[in-house]
Amino acid sequence: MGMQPRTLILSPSPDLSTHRRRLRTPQECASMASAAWSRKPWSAPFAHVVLFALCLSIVVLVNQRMHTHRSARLHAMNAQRLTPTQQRKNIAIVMSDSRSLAEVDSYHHWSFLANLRYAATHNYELRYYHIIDNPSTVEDKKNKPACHHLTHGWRASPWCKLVALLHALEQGKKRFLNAGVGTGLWSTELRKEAQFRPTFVSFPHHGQHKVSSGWST
Amino acid sequence: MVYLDSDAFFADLNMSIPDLLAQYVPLEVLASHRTMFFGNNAPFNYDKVCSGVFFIKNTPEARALLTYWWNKDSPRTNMAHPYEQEALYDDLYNNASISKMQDAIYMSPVLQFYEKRKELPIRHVWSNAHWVSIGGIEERKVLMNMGSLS
Repeated sequence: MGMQPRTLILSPSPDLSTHRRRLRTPQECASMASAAWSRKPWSAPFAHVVLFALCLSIVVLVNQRMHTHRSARLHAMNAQRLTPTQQRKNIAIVMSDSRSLAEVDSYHHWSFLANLRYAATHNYELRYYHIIDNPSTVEDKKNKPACHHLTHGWRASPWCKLVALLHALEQGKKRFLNAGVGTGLWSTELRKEAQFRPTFVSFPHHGQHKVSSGWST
Repeated sequence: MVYLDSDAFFADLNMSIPDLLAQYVPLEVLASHRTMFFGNNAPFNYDKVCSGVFFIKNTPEARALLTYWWNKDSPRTNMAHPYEQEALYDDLYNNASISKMQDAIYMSPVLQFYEKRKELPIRHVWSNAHWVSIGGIEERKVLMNMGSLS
């Protein structure tokens, strides 16, 4: 009589007293699993440990994924955030006056020097816009026409602070934010309307100053 | 960016501009849509802005606001004091209901520039004539000390 081919599964014997292993059929394994299931294994103390470990691993996994996501967001935010050096470079102090800085021993000259020292301390840029009066239309010694608005006509130099500041902002935008983007038409129009010739002195340049001519129309 | 009239100067060398803003402007206002920050016009108007010193964000909204200010019609002050400040007042206070600038501007009630208080971080000098007065001499000393680059 030949041997019948059987599928055998090696499994530990439930009989712990014998400490021996024996071969079981799949049917036996299935019936044992069914019996074990009917005994509500989740109510056993060991099952609690398993369930706790399972929940813990899920929590850890979810937390890890959230942390990864948060890190990615923080990284993206940091990429947009300016470093302290960039922040310092991003700050500028703008002054404007119709009097030249060559006029020493006057209060605007001393104010400029005080602001220059402050700017140098914090590594800010300092710009002094020298507003040049229009000599052809001088009528009043005190209130000389300096900026011309196409609609509203000539204005005295205090008005020019708005145009000087716009010029500084526009240059700052080009320099620090995004070169070549958004060079708005309004500013071009404004420059046409302003019709004044400011020159600005820009600091700091490590003890040397740079004098640049502004726009003229 | 900070604008200062030529008669205004930083009197506190150690206080940076972000620190100054943080001290006088609430953080939620700084982070808001507001783009220009003023002190008050003490000692003349404690409830109105001083256009001699102000802080401005470099944003399209801020630049558009400056353009709007420049385009304000103020025939009486085109060539006379108080110049562009009158145009600003006209928008902020005389036509508050239709003001385009009011919502974008913040005025600090405690930030002043014009008084002779030495603890102010930014101070205004009056004029050369002011310098020969008692306060002017004091401010000149401050300026000479601060302005000295040596």
